Amino acid sequence: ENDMAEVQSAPSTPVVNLWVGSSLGILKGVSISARVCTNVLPGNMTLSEADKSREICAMCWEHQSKDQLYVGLRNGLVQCFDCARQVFTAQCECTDGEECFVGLGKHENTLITCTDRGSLCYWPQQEHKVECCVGRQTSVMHASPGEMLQVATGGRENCLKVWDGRNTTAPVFQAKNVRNDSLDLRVPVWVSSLAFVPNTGAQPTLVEGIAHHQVRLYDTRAQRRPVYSRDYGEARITALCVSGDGRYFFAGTSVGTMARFDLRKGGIVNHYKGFAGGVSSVVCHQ
Amino acid sequence: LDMARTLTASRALQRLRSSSSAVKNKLRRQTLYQKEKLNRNKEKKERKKKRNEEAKKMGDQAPPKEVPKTLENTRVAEETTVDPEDLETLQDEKTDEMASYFDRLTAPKVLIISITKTSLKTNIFIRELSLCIPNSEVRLRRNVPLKKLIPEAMKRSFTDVLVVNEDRKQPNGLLHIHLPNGPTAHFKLTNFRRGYDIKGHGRVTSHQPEVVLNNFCTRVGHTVARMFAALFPHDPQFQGRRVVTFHNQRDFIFFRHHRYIFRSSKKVGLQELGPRFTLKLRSLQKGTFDSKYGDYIWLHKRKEMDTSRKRFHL
Repeated sequence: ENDMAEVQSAPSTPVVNLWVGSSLGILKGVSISARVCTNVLPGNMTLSEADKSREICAMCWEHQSKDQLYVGLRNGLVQCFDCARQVFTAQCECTDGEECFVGLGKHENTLITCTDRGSLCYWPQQEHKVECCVGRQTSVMHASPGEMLQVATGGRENCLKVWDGRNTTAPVFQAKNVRNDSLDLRVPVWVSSLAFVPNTGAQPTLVEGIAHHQVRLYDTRAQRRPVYSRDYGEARITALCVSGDGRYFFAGTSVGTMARFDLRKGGIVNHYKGFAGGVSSVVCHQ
Repeated sequence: LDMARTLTASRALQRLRSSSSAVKNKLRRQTLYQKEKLNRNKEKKERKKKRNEEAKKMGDQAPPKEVPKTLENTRVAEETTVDPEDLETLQDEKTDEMASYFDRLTAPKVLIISITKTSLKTNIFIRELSLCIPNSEVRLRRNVPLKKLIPEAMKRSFTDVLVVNEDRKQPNGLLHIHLPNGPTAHFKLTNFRRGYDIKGHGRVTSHQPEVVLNNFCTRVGHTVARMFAALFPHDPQFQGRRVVTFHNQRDFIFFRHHRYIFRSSKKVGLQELGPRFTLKLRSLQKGTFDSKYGDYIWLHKRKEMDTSRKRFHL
């Protein structure tokens, strides 16, 4: 029915396994075992007021805990959701609604937001923010699962960059484009999805999916160019996630194909069937 | 599985009974089979006659007449079927890309275009389609790529673009792009018959037609139906008695264009006008045409979706 903006997984609680953000701004709690989905609306909003301006564009967990969720809406609001009580607690206005969130992160007390115009903001407090520009067209932003204030961004003609919140003048790591192809033509850059490989420390390893149907692995300790670059399908890679043990990563495309890759070599382990439309989000639980 | 079992069981029984399939001589086998067929039909008629007589005798206590199982009434329950009381889906539909049409904020203006060099049949199709859809314009393609065409159409305040694709000198595809940021539906187009070839056809008038959308049940079906509805002006002119029907059955959408007349309160006369064709949805893409980088809401995957004869998606 609704577009899945993002799926987050929770350790199996009796009721809800998964929180899904929809295009109307409704947060849906899915219990996979019971095959039940409950809708949660923000307190001041009724169903008849729900519209596409409240579309959930980005979601993230509270720093190192899974009892709170941050939800970024299309109109620029970021709402805090308490998972246990299933109630929206706070909200703050982060952009004016002209720009759309491409990523959210929460480290300690700092909220990190990134918009599609390339405005990466660190919000230690609600009023005060530290802003930096990550490129004119940003498609994705991901906050590191472990490292404090570390964030990776990428977009159209905007290569992968890893930023540290403590020093926002220049990125900590900036990727280099792959070599020219067999016709000696420059390979265009369009990062459409990103994922951090967990437990890779201050110099992370990242998986990047690009719109030109390739998945790439970057090791920031080793080199600026990707370690490998694998073709997958013929459509834009829209969703990526790495498994908890760091052995595999999952890539989903805009035409609804999804595969599991071996992280070290980049080979496809298996495919997943059954999607009717594009894959909007993939999450791996542990 | 049950149906399959009974079918194979009945066939096995048939083979046991009939000896015609075991005969190697073709002539003898054929004559034997004809006889068996005649007998089978005779028996069937007798059984039916007997059933009817018994029903008449029993009168009110007669068992209800059995309804044959069809693909439509044994359809697998589709999870995405829209519940008419589901407020969330209602709200989702109310705020979709076609909302501006249904809220009467925009009036439809349709651009009908095809490939650069069209053949006769496609030209006829386009001409008939433009007569059928009020406020539509036909333009030449002139080698313009679709991605360049769409911003130009938006500039000229078109609300929909219909691109007719041609293969082997026949129209075989229809791409419906709703502007400004509406979904793009790609259909397979078959069985086109122009009005001229239909016996007893009538002439199309310029009255705004009524639109009938039959049997669109699922969420994808609803989106497609809303896209069709958004092609036609809001208020039909009932005086014209013109009706355009998009009838969905088994995922095939039958397009018909009639003029109706009520002969009595129960009897209607229909005269077919303009084109008659069949559509089958191949993909529904979010946003305007972008087959490479666009997000697909629904894509027909034959091997994954056509696993059951009783499963339909619209």
